[in-house]
Amino acid sequence: MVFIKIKHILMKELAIIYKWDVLIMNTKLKVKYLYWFIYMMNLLIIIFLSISIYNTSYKICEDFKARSFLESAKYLPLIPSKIPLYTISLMLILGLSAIVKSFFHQKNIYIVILTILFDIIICIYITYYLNYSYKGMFLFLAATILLYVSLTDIRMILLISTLITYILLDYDLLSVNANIVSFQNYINYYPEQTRMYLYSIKNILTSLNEILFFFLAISMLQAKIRENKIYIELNNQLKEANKKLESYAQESMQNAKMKERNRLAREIHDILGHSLTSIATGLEAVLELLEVNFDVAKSQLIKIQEIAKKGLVDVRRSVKELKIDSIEKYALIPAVEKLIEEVNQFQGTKVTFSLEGNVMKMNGDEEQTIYRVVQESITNAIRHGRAQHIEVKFSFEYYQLNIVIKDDGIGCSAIQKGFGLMHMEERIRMLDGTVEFDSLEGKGFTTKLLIPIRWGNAYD
Amino acid sequence: MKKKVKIGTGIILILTLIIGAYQYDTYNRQKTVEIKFGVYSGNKWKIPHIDTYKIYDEAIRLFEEQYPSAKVKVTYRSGTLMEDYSEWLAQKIVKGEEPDVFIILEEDFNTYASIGLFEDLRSFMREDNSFNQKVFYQKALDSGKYGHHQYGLPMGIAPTFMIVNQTLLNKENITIDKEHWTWDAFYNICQAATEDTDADGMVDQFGVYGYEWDDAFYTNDDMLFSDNGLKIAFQNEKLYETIDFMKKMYVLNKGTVVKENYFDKGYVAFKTFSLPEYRAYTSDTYRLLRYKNFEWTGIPFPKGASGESISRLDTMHLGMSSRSKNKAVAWEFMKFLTANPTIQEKVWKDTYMLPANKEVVADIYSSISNREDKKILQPEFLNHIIENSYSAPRFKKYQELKNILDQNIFLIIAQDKDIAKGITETKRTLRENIKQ
Repeated sequence: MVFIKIKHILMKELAIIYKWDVLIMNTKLKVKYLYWFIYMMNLLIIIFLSISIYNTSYKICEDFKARSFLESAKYLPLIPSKIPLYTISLMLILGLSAIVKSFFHQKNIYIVILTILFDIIICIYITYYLNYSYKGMFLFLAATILLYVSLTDIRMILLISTLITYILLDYDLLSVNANIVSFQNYINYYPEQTRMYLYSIKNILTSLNEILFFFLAISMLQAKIRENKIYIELNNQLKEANKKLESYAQESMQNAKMKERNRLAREIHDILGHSLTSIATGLEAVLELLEVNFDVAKSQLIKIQEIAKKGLVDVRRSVKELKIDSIEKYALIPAVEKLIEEVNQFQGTKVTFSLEGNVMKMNGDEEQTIYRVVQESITNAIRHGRAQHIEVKFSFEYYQLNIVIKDDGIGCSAIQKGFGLMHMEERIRMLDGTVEFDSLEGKGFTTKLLIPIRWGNAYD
Repeated sequence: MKKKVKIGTGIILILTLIIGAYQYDTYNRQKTVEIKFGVYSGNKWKIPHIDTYKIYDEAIRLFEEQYPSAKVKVTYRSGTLMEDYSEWLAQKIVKGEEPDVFIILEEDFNTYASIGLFEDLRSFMREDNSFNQKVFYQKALDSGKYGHHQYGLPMGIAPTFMIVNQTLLNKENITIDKEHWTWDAFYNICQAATEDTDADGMVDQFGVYGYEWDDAFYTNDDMLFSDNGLKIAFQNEKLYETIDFMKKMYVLNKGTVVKENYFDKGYVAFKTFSLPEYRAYTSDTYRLLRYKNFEWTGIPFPKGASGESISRLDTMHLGMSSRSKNKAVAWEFMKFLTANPTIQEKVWKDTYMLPANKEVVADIYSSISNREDKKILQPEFLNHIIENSYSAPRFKKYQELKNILDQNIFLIIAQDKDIAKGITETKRTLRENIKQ
C-alpha cells in the first residue's frame, strides 16, 4: 500500500516535470518562430532596399540625371547589379549559418561561436553593400546570440562585439572616411511623394523588425521567468511529496513494528505452545500413571522435564534471534527428523516421516518457515486432533517442495482457522507457496503445502 | 573505414577546388583583356576637327600590336559629343560600367576625385621602371593631382598666352619692357596704341582683343573658388583691382566693340590665344596667308599689382577607374597614350593641342619648319608660359558660377557701377547659387 502511494507520488512528480518541459518547449518553439520571423523580415527588407537601389540607379540613368546624382552622392555608388545579388546571397548564407547553429548549439559551442563571428563579417558586408543604410540584421545576429549561446560570459562578449560593430557601421560616422552613398541619396532622387512612400515602407519594415526583436527578447525573458516560477513550484511540490514520503516511511516503520510483534507472537505460540502442549499432555499421562506405575511416571516426568528444557532453549534461541535479527541455520531435514523423534519419544502419538526426491538446499527463511509449519501441524494434530498417528511426507520436485501432513485425529466438519492456521497461511504465502487444509468429522486432518524453492544454489 | 572515406572525399574536394581555381585562372589569363576607353568628340575651344578618333584608332592599333596573339583589345564608343560626355560617363559610373581608361572633363575632375572614382596612379608610377614622370610638363602632371593623389595623367595640354603685333608697336614707336611686364605697362601700351587713325571720330586702332577679366584676375590673385566649389575664395580687394583695371581698359575703346578680324587686319596690338585656337587660326586649313601683313610674337600676360604673370593651362587628362578589372593593362594603355613619343607626336599632328611629353615637344620644335608654330614652340617662351600657369577650377558648377561672374562684372564695367557694391552683390548671387 505504502509503495503504491509512493509510486503515485513519483508519477505525479514526473507529470509535473513533463508539463514543465512541454511549457518550456512551447516557449522555445515560440521564440524560434519569432527568430525565423525576424530573419524573414530582414530578408524582405534587404530585398526591398537592394531592389530599390538597383531600380533607382537605372531610373536615374534613364532620366539623364546621372551626373547631378553623382554630384549629390558625394561618393562612388556601388555597382547596382551586384547589390541585390550580393546582399540576398549573403542573407541566405546567414540563414544557412543559423541552421548550422541550430544543429550544433547543444553539441559544440565552438562551432556556434565560430559561425557567429562569421555572421558578424557577413553582416558587415551586407551593410556595406546596402550603402550602410540598413543595419537591422544585427538585431537578427543579437537574437542568434541570445538563442544559441548559453554561456553568460561568451554571450556577453559576443553581444558587445556585435553592438560595437553596429555602432561603428553608422553611415554618418563612416561617411567621413569611407566612400559610401547612402540610401537617402537614392531616395532623394524621387519626387516628394514617392520619397515619402519609399521612406515609409523602409521605416515600417525596419520598425517591424525592431518590434519582432523586442518580442523575441520579451518572450525569452518571459520564458526565463516562467522557468524560474515552474522551478519554484516544482520544488514546492517535491518538498510536499517528500513530506508525504516521510510520513509513509513512518507508517512503514510502524508496520514493521507490527510485523515484528506478530512474528514474536508466532514464535511464542510456536515454541512455547508446542512445548507446553507436550508438557501438558505428558503431565496428564503422568497423573494417570502415578497411581498405576510410579516408575514409569517418573521416567515420563524426566522426559517432560527434557521437553521443558528444550522449550526453554527454544525460547532463548528465539529471544536471541529477535535480538540479533539473524536466523540460526538448521539443516531442514535433520531438524524435522529430530522434531519427529522428540514427539515419538514420549507421546502416545506416532509420527512417521518420509522423503521423496532429491533434497534441495533452501534459504534460511524457507527452511525456518517449513520447520515451523511442520512443527505447528504436529502440535495441532496432537492438541486438537488427539491423533494417534501422524504422517509427514516431504517430496522434492523441480524447484518445488510438496509437504503433506496427515493425521488420524478427530478432525472437524468445518475448519475454524485459529491464530495458528492463519499464521501458517500467512507464512506460506510469504514464500509464494500455497497451503490447503482438508478435514472431515472423525476422518483426521490433512495439511498440504506447496512451496516453490527460489532459484539459486538449490542443487549445490 | 568511415573516417578514411571522409578524409578521402575531403582531399578530393580540395584538390578539385585547387585545380578548378588554377584552370579558371589560366582560362582568364588566356582570355583577351578588353580595355574600354572613354572618349568624346569635339573640344572646349569649339574648333572644328575633322577626325577626332584618328589618333585614338592609331594609338589603339599600335598598342594592341605590342601584345602578340591579340590578347589585348581596346574599345571605345564613338559619337559621344563633348557636351554629352559628362552625363554619358556619369550613367556608366552609376551603372558600374564605366570605361577602364577615360578622358577626364575638367568639370568632372573634382567630383570624381572626391567620390573615389579614379585610381590613384602613384603606385603605378613608382613601380613601373619604364615610366619616367620627368618627361611631362610638371604643371600638366600636377594638375592631375587631387590632394596627394595622382588621378590624371596628361595627354595633351593647351597653354594660354598673348601675341603682340610687332609691326603696329614699331609703327607707334612702342617698346615692351619684358622685365616689368605689368598691368600698368600693358595699359600704357594699349593707351598709346588706341587711336583714331583716319580721324573719323571713331577709334579704329585698338590695344587688345580677347583680354577678359579672369585673365587679369589670375595675374593678381590665386583662386576664385575653393577646390570643391563650395566656397568663394577670392579676395575682395584683388577682384576690385582687377575690375578697376578692366574698367580702365574698357574706357580706352570709347565704346567701340573690338572685333576678332580687326586683329587679323593689323588694327589691334594684342590678342589672347590658347594654343589650339592659335594653331587653328594659323593653320593653312582655315585661313591662308593669315597675319601676312604684319610681324607678331608671343608674349605672356602682364602681371597685376600683387600677382604674377600667369595664364591658364588647359590639360586633357586621362584617368583610370578604380573599379577597373585590368588595371595593369589599363595603366600600360594610359602610359602609352601619354608618354609614348609616337602617340605624343600624333597629339601635335592630329589634335590642336601640345603634347604633354615635353621631350616630344622639343623634338617637334627642332624638326618643324612652320614659322607660326616655331614662334610659339620656342622653348624659352613656351616653358615660361607653361611654368607660369594655372588651371581653371574643376568643379561642376564652375561654369555656372563663371557665367554669373562674367555677367556681373560686365555690368559693373559697362554700366560704370560702384565696384565694391557690385562685388558684394555678386558674392551674394554666387553664394545663393552655390547653396542650391
